Amino acid sequence: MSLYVKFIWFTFTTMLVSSLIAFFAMNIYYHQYLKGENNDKNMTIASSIADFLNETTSARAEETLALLGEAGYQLYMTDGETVRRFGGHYRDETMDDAVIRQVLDGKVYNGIRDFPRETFVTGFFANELKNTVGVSIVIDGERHALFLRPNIKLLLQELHLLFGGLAVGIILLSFIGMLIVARLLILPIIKLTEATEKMGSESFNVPLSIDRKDEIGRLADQFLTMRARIERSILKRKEFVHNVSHDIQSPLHTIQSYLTLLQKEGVSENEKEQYSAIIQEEITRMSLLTNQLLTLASFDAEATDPVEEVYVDQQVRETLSHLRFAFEEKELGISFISESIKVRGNAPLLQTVWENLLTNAIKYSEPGCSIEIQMTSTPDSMILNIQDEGVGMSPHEVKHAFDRFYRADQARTRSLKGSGLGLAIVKEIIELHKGTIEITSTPAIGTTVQVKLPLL
Amino acid sequence: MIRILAVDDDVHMLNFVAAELRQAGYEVVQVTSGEEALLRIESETMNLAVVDVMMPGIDGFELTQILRTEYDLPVILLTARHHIEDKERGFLAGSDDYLVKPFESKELLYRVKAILRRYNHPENDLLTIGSLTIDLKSYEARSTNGTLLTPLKEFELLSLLASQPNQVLSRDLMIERIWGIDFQGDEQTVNVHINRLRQRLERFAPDVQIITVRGVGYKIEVVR
Repeated sequence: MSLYVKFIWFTFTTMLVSSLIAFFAMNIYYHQYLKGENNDKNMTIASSIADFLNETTSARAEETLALLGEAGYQLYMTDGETVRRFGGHYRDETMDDAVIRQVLDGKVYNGIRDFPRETFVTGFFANELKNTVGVSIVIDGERHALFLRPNIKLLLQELHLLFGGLAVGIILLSFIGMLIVARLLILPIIKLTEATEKMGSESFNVPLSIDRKDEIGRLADQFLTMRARIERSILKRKEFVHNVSHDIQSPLHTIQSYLTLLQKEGVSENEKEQYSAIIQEEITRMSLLTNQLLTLASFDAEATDPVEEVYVDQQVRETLSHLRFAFEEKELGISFISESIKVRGNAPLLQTVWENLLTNAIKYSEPGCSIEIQMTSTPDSMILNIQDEGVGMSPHEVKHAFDRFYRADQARTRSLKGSGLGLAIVKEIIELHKGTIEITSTPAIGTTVQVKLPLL
Repeated sequence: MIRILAVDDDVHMLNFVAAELRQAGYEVVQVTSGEEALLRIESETMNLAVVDVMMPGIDGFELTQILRTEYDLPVILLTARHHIEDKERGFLAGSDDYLVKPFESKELLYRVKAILRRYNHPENDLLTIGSLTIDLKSYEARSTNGTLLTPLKEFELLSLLASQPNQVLSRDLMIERIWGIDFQGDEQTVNVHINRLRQRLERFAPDVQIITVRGVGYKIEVVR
């Protein structure tokens, strides 16, 4: 069922149900309270009519009754045998003889008050003799029973028309209004649906002209933001896959070519050694790349909330002692100055950060140089500076240092093992910890990496 | 002779590790499971264990824990995946060091040597000169400024000089003590290392100075 049909159904049902509820409620209210009041009001009128008629002559009484009939009362007068009516017939004129006799004996009849309650009939409109008040009157010394009630039809005919028209008008206009509102609501939803369907087939530029301030407007805004983000992430993913494939493909290709060279006849020992070294290097590079991809994947997959308290100075110290082999190889000296600092974070991830940054510093240092590591704290943050005397980077290289698969020195890469993922990973982890990382570098002078992390 | 227990369920890897260690002059006991390792260590004394993490049955972490707590044996863990959690678990299990596969044999040998060196210094062996404290066990120099980690040769030079402060030591003596009698290089090597060390000290502990005594050698002094 479409939304339109639902709207119409809903409007219709609402009207029907609310009318019914209102009708029953008013019916109950009438029978509970109004009926009595109505009876008393009419009884007062009947009593004063009786008083007047009792005092006057029969001719005048006749005139008065006729006048009352014309003025909007329905009167039914009987002496037990003959009946006289003024102001028209009752639709139903059955009446217990006992009641008539009682009234003739001088009792009053409270028919409106005692009118039985029926589910689908409003007692107020029931044009029945039973639904009247009765008093006894004496005309010409003869007793009569007089039953009366207002002639609703005569009195309220125009009002009926008015209210009927009003009701029809309300219903019709409600339906039309509802249709317009429905259209206004449904139109943007249709647009959104179309845009979503198009997005399924990877077209992200379907224009969406929904300018509203309400919930649907917000939905549209959210949709646009989300669409942009998905588009970006799909582009990134494609680029990523492209880069990964290239980075796995190219060392494989190199390995294959050099293996072919090795298998040729007449390869000298010297060449063999050289080729093996190249193969070795490429394998190491691939292994590093897959390792870092694993780190990235586990990092992307796990919801890694920084939760534990981590003694970062301790971590850096451990990392240094683990990397000692690497800087021993290059005869680097490392000074580490720190105080005891703890931050809230994810320990293994932070360890990855220190390891990557220190490995980089070692990798790009010239043999015999120094690396200075300084860890200090301000009241609200931890600051780590890693300063090397390495090859340095140009401003352009600094700018792209954190891009995945960006490697500063394309030409030199062959001799320096790198996956191009290290700094990208580092940056993501630091951002996860709400910290910042900055690189300042001068070619041939060295590089300083500064990491700031908020304290507990 | 130093005996090393090598544990790995991957026979190729095990052979590679054992071959490299043997070539470096160690005696190697090869086993292919944690259970076998525990049997062998009952009957033979070992100095060090090289243990692979991923093994069926008793895995590397478990084995490390047993070897460390019950036999007080230093352990180097070999992890196949560069997986951060493994690293953490390795530390928890109390390994002395770990290596991520694939590794170069010289890295393995370096770590083996470093651990054995640490275990041969049961007590803290400290030298003090000026603001500098030289820790012969961990091969670190400390001052109020922090920690200075220098390459091995420089560290040995520093400890040699600091063990006899204010005394002039000749380059020949240094070569003999640090590089060994078979050393092929010349005195220039000593000069290069001394210069580097001097620069590092200038920044890290300015009160400790290495002074060149022309025609003789070097001495270390504390300057106020």
